[in-house]
Amino acid sequence: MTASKPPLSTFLTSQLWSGNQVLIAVLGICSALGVTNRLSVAITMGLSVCFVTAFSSFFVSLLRKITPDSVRMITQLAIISVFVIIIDQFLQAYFFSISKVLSVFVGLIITNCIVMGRTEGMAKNVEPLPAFLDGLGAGMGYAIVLFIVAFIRELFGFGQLFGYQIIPLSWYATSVHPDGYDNFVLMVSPPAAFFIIGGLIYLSKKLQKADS
Amino acid sequence: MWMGEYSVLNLIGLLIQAIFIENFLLVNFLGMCTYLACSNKLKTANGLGIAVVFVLTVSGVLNWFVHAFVTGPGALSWLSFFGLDAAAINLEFLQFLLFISVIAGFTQILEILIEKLSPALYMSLGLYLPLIAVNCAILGACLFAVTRDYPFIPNFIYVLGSALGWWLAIALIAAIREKLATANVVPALKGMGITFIMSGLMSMAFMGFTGIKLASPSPATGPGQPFALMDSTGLGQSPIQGAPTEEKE
Amino acid sequence: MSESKLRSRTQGVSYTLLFMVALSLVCAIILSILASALKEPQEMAKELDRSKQMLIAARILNPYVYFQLQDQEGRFVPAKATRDGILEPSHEKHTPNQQEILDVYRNRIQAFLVNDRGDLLTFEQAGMNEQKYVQDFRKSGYYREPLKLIYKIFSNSRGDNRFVEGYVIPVNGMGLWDAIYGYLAVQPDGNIVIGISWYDQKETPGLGANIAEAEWQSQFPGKRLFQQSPNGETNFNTAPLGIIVVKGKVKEVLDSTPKALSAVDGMAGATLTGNGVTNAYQDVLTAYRPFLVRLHQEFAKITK
Repeated sequence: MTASKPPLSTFLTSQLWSGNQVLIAVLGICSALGVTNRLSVAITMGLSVCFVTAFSSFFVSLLRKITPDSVRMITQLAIISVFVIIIDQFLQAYFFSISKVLSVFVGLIITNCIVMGRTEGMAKNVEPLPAFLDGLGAGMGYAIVLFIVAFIRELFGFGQLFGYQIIPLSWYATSVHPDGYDNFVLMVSPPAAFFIIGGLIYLSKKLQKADS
Repeated sequence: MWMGEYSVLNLIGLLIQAIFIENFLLVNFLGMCTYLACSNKLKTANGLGIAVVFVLTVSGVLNWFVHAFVTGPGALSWLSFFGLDAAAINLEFLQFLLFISVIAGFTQILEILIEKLSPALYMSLGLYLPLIAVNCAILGACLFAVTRDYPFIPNFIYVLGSALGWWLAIALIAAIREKLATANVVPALKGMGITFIMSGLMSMAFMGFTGIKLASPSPATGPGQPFALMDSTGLGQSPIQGAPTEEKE
Repeated sequence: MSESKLRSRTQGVSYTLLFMVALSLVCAIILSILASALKEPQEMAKELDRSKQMLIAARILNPYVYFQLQDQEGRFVPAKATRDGILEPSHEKHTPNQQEILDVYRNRIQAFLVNDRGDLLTFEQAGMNEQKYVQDFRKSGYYREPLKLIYKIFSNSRGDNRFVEGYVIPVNGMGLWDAIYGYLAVQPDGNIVIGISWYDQKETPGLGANIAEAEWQSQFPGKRLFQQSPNGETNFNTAPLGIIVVKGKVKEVLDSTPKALSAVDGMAGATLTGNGVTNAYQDVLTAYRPFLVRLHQEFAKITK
């Protein structure tokens, strides 16, 4: 234990902003585009990734000394798959309607670059507890970005948040007053997610440059 | 099981559908990570693309067997050959694990083979192979194919088409990125930011293919319909969802 | 010192094999335990989802998930479930729990089979297993089978007072992207729609996916399956069968012609999904035509 060892909490916090996996490392994009239509779905996805990343990092780190080098990747994949399957089974049992919407995207958490990135990049080199916090932080950073994107998309694409109508129905255009408000339908399509994430990357780069 | 109710015409339609209309990268958004994070040259994109075509096609076929004989519903009925009545056992929960193992295992074997058989090929292609094992598109295509329950040959065509479409999209994006590298982009948008915006525009362009149905992708609409072309010649009947129509709502 | 020894030991082939076998075993065991433990909640979740959708189509459950009853004037009032699956009116909208929904479902909805001549059979009479049948033909469509699936909706009463309030037909079709699955509930006259629902669709969110939204579905109650001819009469043997999703608003396209009684507004920007819905109703109902015609004849006899 040397004096220069960083406090445990930095493993968590560095992943939230300065090392945010989506905005800085640009990983985990696939699912960020496909599931951020609705807030409920995005949050479920974000929490699932948190769970998977944290626990797989923990177990990969736990096994790091006894894992043969030649099967390192496949061991990591196996551990990650186990946790993804746990989440998938759990969702199917208790959150059926959301799991219908997520369908294959839950399985795709296995190939989510964030998870593999953390296990390969960090977990196999550090103790289990820091690895857990690092994974948790990465997952949380991802969840926060997903939340922001889904917030914008659902609000402008549906006029709702979590399924509740936020933009008053009276504002909408009808045949009586055709100049009223209309939902920004493009927000519901995937290209909008590209644009929003591009914008967020721009913002985060600007803000981080201002910081340093 | 091998061909189902698909005619050859259906298969051609399915191929075109998988490459353009349901392009894996630009419509389903799978497989971006590995690409975005590592390359912005057309040559590397081509290398990645060819590797994906190969890995996805073979893994897709292998995983079809896994689904048909291990994890699908009623899949274990072949065990009755050995006197075991296992048709009711449902191993669906092992699907993810088995699929990714097949993909990773195949990629590993492929890497070893290429290294032994052709060092030149290994130099250009072999470096991408470990990356490809964790490419969302590979697992995604296998999972999509399984949810749609294709027979063997349509499954093969589907995974082949998806891979070719992915390669096409990657090559397109790489070509544009090469140009963007020398363009005068706002500093904070340089690199990832502008790539995202550009990909968004491209995906909007590919949305133009929506609604063109060249084959019934599933037997649900009947085997007697090789073509189900949408008649979009009427006024305001654009197949593009969201396109302005003649009528005011 | 011991670390390097550990390292060299872990590189051997036999160790690698042992490690992989052990890892696979542990993973398989964990997952198998989990899967069997969660199997029941999963089955229940699936059944609950299907039941909910059918109850919504039959208008026993409101799309905002509270029970409802029709009062004397035909208006819908909130209701809550009692112990044996019977509903009674209540003042507030009470969200039922899983068990209540399943109880009401099991009490009021029952599956039957209908053949090409329109005869109704129970699963026992046909010698088929309900679970297996429902699972096997879900994707290909029950309407394609010689014995087609149909559900009876029983009234909200006990024992001898029960009568058939309507029928639910499972509907299969092709939307824009993928297959769509839903239910259509029809009154005992075989013509007037009670309600619909779409429980499985992969249409474009915000556009085609609106078919699953309560607002769009609320147009269906009261529509007629058999198209009325211009002179006001309906020839049940030859009239076109099904609900048409028009492009635009029914009021503007069809005004008050009899055709409008069998048509609903389309969704802006989702014409192809609407076409898929129209085709689905047409294809499926054609298979049930003999049954619906017979229903109408018997209903006409009773109400004469």
